Amino acid sequence: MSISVKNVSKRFGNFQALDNVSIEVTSGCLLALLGPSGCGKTTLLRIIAGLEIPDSGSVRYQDTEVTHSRIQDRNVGFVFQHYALFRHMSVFENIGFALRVRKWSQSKVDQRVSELMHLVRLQGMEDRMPSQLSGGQRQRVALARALAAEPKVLLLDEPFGALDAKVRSELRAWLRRLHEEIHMTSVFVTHDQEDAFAVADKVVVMRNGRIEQQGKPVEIFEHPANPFVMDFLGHVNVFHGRQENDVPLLTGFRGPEEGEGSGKWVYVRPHELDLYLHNQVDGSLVGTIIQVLPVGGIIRVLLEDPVSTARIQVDLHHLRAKELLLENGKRMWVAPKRIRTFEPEYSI
Amino acid sequence: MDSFNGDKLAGSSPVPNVAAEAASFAPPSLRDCRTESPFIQYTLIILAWFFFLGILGIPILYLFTQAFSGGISLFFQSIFADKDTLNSIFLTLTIAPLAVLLNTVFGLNAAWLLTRYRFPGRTLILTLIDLPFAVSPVVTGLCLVILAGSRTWVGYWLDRLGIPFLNNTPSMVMGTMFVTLPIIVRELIPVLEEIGPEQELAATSLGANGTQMFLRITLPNIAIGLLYGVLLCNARAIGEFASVAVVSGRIAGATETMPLRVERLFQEYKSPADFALASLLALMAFGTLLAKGLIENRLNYRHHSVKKGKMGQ
Amino acid sequence: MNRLAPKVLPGFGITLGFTLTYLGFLVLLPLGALMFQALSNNPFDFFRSAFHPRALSAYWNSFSMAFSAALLNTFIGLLIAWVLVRYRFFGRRFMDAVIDLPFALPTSVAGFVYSTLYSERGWLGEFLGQNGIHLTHTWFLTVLVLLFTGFPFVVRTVQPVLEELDGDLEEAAAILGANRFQTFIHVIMPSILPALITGFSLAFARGLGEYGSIVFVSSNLPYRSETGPVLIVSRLEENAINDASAAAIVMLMASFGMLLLINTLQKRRQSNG
Repeated sequence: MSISVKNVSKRFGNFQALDNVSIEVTSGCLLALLGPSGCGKTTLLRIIAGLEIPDSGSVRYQDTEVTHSRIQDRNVGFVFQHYALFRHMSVFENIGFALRVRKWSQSKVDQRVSELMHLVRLQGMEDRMPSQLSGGQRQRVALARALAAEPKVLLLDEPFGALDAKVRSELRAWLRRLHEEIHMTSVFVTHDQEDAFAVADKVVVMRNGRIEQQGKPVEIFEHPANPFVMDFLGHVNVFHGRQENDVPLLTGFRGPEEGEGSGKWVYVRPHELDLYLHNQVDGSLVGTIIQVLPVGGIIRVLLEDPVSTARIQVDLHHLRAKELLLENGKRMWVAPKRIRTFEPEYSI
Repeated sequence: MDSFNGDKLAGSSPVPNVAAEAASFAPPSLRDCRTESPFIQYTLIILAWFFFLGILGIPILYLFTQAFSGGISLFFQSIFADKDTLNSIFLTLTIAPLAVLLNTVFGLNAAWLLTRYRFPGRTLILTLIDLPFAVSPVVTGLCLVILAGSRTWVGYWLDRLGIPFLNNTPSMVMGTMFVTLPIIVRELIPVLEEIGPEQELAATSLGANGTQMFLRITLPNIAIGLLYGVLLCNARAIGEFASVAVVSGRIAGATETMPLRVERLFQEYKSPADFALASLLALMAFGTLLAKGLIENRLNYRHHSVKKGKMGQ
Repeated sequence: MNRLAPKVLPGFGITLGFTLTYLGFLVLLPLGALMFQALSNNPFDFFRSAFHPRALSAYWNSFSMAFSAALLNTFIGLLIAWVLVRYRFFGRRFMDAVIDLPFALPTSVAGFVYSTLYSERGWLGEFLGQNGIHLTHTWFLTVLVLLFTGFPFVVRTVQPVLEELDGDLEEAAAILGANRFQTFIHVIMPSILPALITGFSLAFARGLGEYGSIVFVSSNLPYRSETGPVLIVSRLEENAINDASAAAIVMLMASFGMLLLINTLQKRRQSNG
C-alpha cells in the first residue's frame, strides 16, 4: 500500500511545524524521515498515522483519502519512541491488545500472538512484564504489537533512539531483514543519518518544516542538494575556492569571523581532502597540524591556518598517513580531490 | 539531543482547547484521539460542577449568608459581645499555636533523624508517627482520660502534685498535639529526602558544627516545606473537635474552644451567633487555603504528602 | 536510597533521644494507658463490652456510613480529578483551589452547616420538605456530611497520577484500534487504580473515626444511628470507662488494619512505578 502526502501544513500556536510538505511512499518501500530536532519529521509521521490532523493538505493510503478518518479505522502500525508498552500487561497481552479490542476469539489471538513472538524472536517470553525486558526486547515487543492486526503501513518514531550503540546496530540490521521478509510500506523518523542510510530505501531530509531533499541514500550522500544537507550528513570543510576546467582549486580558508552564506563557498568532505609535504598541487593551502587521531580504519587530522585560525578536518587512509609522518606542529599542504559548490541562498 | 523534543512537545498538547473545539463543531474525526467528544466533555464538566457545588459550594455559601444575614454589625456583635465566645477564641488561639510549635520542634527532629540516618527501629518510628492518622480523635481523648484517671500512676502523681490536666488546657493541648502529630513530619520527610545530605556533608567537612549546619544549610532548604506543614497543622489544630471535646469537660467560658463553642451555641439555639462563629472558622480556613495557594503558585511548591498519597489530615 | 554514610552528620543521638521521648510521652503513654485499662479487666467482661449488641451495631453503622461515603467519593473524586486534569473550563482554577477546603475547615463546622442547611428552616431542607423529603437525622445526611469531610482525598491522590500519565499509552491504544471507552478501561484505569484505592482507604479511615461532624447531623440513637466514636463518647459520659475502652480497642484495631493496608498499597505502587 502506498502513502501519499500532499501539500500538508501544520501549525502549533506560533510554531510552523510543517510548511507545505509533500512526499510519496511507494508500496513496500522503507522510507526514513531524517532531520534535526524540531524539523517537523515527527509531526509528519504523526499526521500520516492520524495522531495529528493537518491544517491543510491531504493524506492518502493507496487510493483512499484518510486525512480525516478516525485513527481507529486507519489500521496503521505505530511504534512509539519510548515504546509505550502497557506496563500492567504481559508481553502476550500487549501484543494481543489490538486483537482483543477487535473481539478476536481466544484461539485466533493465541495463534497470531505466537506467530508474532516467533517473528520478533521472543518465544518463551509471553508471560514477562515489560519491566522485565531489556531495551531491545521492549522495542521488538512494541514492533510485534504494532504488527498484530496486520496493518497496511508501519510507522516508527525514532525506533533506535533509546538504545545503546551495540543493540542499535543489531536492531538496524534486524529491522532491515524483517522489512525484506514482510515487505510492508514503512516510514521511520530519525535524527541520525547512520540509521537512515543503514536501513532505508529512500531518505527524506527535512529542516524547519520543509523538505530539503529526498531520494535514495547514495544519491543524497553523493549529490546533496544544498549545504544544509551536506553538513547534516557528515562533517564538511568550507573554503574559498572555485572549479577551473574540472580542476578543483582552493583559494583561501574561511575564517571563523567571516559572514555566513556571503559569496560563494566550496564544500569539501574530510575524506575528499589530501595532504602533501610540499606545494606540489595547484590550488592547495598550507596549514599546521594540531591533532592526529586514529578513528577506526582512518586517521583524522586537524589542521589550523595560523592566520585566520580556521580549522579543517582531513580523513586519511592509515597507509597514506604513515607515508606522511604526521605529527603535531608540522606544516602540510591541503588539496581537494573534489569540491562542491551551491547557490548562495543557503548557509550552514 | 533527540529530535522528539521540538516537534513532539509542540505536537501533543495534553490538554485540548475545549472552547476552540466546541466553537468549530468539529466532526468526531477531527478530534485529538486522546480526548473525548465535546458532548462528553461538557457533560463531565457539568457533573463535576454539580457535585462540587452540591457538596462544597452551597453549604459554604449558606454558612456565610446566614452569618451576615443580620448585617455586619450583628455579626461582630454576636462574636465580640459574648464573653464566652471571646474566651473560646482566645483559648483556641492559645492551644493551636502551642501544639503547632511543639509539633514543629518534633517534626524537625524526627524528619532529620529518619532521613539522615539508617538505624534499626527506623520503620517502627515511622509507624508510630503515622499512628495518630489511624486513631479516631475520640479514642485519643479517651486515652488521655484514662491516663489521667485514678488507676494509673500518671494520674496518681498528677493528683499528688496538684497539676491540673483533665478539664483544663494541658490535656486539650496534648490531645491536639496527638491528632496533628504526623502532619509536619510527613511534609518534611520527602523534602529532606529530595535535597539529600550532600550539602550538609559539605558544610560539616568545611568545619560547620551541628547548629551552624542546621541553621545555615538545612533550614533555608526546607523553609517552604516547613511553612506548608505548619500551615496544615495549624488548620487542623484550630478545628480539632473530638479529642478536645472528650478531655475538656466543656466548661463554658473556661475550656470551650471555638469548634466546641459553635456546638454549644447551636444547641442553645443562639442563631446567628452560631453561624457567626462558624463563619469565622470558615474564614480562617479560607485564609489557610489562600496561603497554601500562594506557597504553591508563587513558590512553586508541590504538596509532598499528597503526592505520596499520605494525606496529612 | 542509601546514599549516605551512616552517622557522619552530627545530631544522631540528640534527635533520636528527642524523637523517642516525644513519641513515648505523646503516643505510647496514652495508648498504653488504654491497653492497660482494657487488659486489666476480666477478659470475659472485655469481650462482653466489645461485642455488646449496641457496640456491634455502632461498628456496623460506622463501617457502612464510612464505606458508602468513601465509595461515592471515589467516583466523584475520580470525575473531578479527571475534569481538572484533562479539560480547560471556566472556574477550573477556583475549583482546584477550593477542593481542599474540607481539610482546612473544622469538621464540626461542616456538621453544623449541613444540619442547619437540611433542617426545615435551611435552604435545602425547606426545598426538599416541600417535596416531602425530610433528611434531618437520616442515614443519608450522615453519609452526605462524610462525603464532605472526605471530599479531597480521592481527588488529591488521583490528580497527580493522571497528570503524569504517559499520553503515548492512550495514543498507542487508539492506534491499536481501541475506542475511548476501551482505552479508559484497559489502559487508564489500571494505571490509576492504586491511587483510587489509596484515596478510598484514606477517606474510609477518616470516616470511621469521624465524630465532630456526625454528632451534628445524626440522631445518635443507640442501635439505630449511633457510630463507634459516638458510642465511645456516650459510654464515657455514662462513666462506663471499661465499655468505652473495649469499643475503642476494636475501633483502633480496625483503623490500624486500614493503615497497614494503605502502607502496603503505597509500597506496591512505588515498587511498580
